[in-house]
Amino acid sequence: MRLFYLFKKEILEVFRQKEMVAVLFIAPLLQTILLGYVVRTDIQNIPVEIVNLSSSPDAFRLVNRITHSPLFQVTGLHRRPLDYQEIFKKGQAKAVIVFRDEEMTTAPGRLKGASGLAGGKEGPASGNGESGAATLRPASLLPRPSVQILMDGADANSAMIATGYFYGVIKRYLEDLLADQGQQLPLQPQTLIRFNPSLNSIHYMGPGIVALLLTITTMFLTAIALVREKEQQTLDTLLISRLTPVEIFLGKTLPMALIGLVEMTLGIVVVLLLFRIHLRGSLGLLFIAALVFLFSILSVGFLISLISQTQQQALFFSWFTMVLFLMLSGLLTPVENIPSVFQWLVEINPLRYLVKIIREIFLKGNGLAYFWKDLVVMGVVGFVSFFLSLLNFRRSVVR
Amino acid sequence: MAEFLLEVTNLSKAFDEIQAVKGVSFKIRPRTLTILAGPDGSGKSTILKLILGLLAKDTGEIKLAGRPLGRDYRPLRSITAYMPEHFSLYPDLTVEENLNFFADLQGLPRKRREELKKQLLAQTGMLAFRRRRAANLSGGMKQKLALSAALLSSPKLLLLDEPTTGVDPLSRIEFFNIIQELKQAGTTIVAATPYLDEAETGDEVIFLHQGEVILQEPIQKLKEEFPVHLYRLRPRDDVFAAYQRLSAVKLHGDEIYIRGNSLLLLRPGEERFSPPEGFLETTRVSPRLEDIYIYYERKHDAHRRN
Repeated sequence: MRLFYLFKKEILEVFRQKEMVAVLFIAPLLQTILLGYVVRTDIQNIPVEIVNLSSSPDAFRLVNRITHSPLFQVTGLHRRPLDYQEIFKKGQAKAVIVFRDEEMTTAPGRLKGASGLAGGKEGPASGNGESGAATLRPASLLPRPSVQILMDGADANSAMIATGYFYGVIKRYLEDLLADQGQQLPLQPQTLIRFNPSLNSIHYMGPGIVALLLTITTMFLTAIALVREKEQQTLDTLLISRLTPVEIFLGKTLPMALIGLVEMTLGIVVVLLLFRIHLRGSLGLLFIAALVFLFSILSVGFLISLISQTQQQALFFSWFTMVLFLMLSGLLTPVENIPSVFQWLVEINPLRYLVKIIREIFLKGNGLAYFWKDLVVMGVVGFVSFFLSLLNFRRSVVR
Repeated sequence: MAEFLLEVTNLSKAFDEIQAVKGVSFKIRPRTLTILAGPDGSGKSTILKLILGLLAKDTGEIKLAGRPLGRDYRPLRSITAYMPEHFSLYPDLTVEENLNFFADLQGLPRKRREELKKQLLAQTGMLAFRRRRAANLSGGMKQKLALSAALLSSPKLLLLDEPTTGVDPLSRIEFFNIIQELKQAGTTIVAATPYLDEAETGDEVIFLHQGEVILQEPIQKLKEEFPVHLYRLRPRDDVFAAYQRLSAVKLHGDEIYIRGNSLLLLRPGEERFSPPEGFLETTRVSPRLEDIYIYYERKHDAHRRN
């Protein structure tokens, strides 16, 4: 019963502060909506400058395809060479596409270098986001265009993805050309994309953001919960009451868990209704995974609260821990990209497992058989943090 | 019934290089009001926290009704209520919610809780403010609320740490009236305070100085057996100038201090005292605890210097 009274007091304290209620329930809802739309890994509307020096109909058709693609935003179409370095420095465009007519004798598929002047005299490749040039078709009597793709490589990831898009457009055009002639490529890969066939990044990010929100609120609130009692000197009063350390732990963390679950429910509603992401798996399993995660993250938060002497310290430690958890969670970048030296940090990061499980349940409809090991690891991280908290409890509060 | 409810022997505590409490020993009789008196930094709060196990002691033993506590503070905590130095309730909860919370933690049945709450609120004059948030109470009301919360457990031992710091004079008087009532009802009270006028209300006093006990005696006995005479001198001119003049005389160097617009002078009782010139009035007065503290503190310092 004492646990219930502490629980009730915590809830009362949280809801007594109107600003806190707004921060707890309205801000995360807005964040889910905003982050869902803003944090996207797919790239659209790539600003492109096109320099068409070719008289070939193929070049005109390709320019037309690029102009009408939702992937690109053509910011300029030129018939004269351009200083592409200046364009990249000013940030006018991420790519410059140059079409020009090849020499009739040019061998098929030969790559040409690029000069500083897009569409200018050919020269050796000079770095800085340049790519090569490729001829479009075998030698014939018609003017044969070549296309040169010049990329701003400052944002390497975007540049690589955009280059892939350009190659895709060109490949599709070539396939159409061959099809008109009743021919086809000797090898035609068949790609089947499951779970997110439209490759819409919101399907990938949306559920992950729910996991992130669950982490932010619960960890921060728990981290300051006990240290606030220390600052208010109410901890002394609690300690000499009959409350045990376990009761204090539960009384402080269970209200945050409840708040976290309510927030998660709101986040899921946004994901389902606004982002229109279909939940393929079990909602019950999603909440079970969330409960195991909450045990883990709240234990970490409580440990932070124990080692901190002021709310300022607790917020700093929480922020540091949360950024680490986020960066190593696979939410923004694949965990496979993280160097092997740091992989152990990924292995003990509970957020990584929740992000994975939520995505699996939402997109793949996976059941417990697929992620029970992840639940176990999250649980172990929780138990270790919980026991460290208990071991440190007396040392932290009785100096 | 044991002669002493609480016995503290050779209690010490250091914070890094600072020795906050140095081998402190004292005994608390049941149903008395004992004052732990001393200036800031004399170790009052630390001693109370050490007694409750809120700080880990370096050395020493604490006995409750003759039984050593060892590392298990539960028997002591089960009969004790503690009121920390600063307001230590929840500012976002109302007066009533705070009291309910602490009553619930004590496991009080609802009926008993309501009775006790009503009684304590009436006793402390807080009944009209029961729906007010604790954050919006005045300093005196906050302390009365904290006292009420402490008393919900009907403790046998009440430890008060500077209960009237930041409280207006009228509330201080009211507060100590309540303390007296509690003592009459059989509660043993230990109150730490830097205000020696408050200490006058106690039965016994423990003088602390730089983490050491310099004296523990019943207050009445201390006054009756004060070994020196105390004179109040009212100077003709500025009291500070008179102090400078008198303290320049080596004889009076350690024996004189200012209170209000007078000088107080401690003189050995057996010596004849000739009042110095330049004073309107020289009167022998009864010592207050403040004077007694100053005498023993200076004696203690002189003893240490020698």
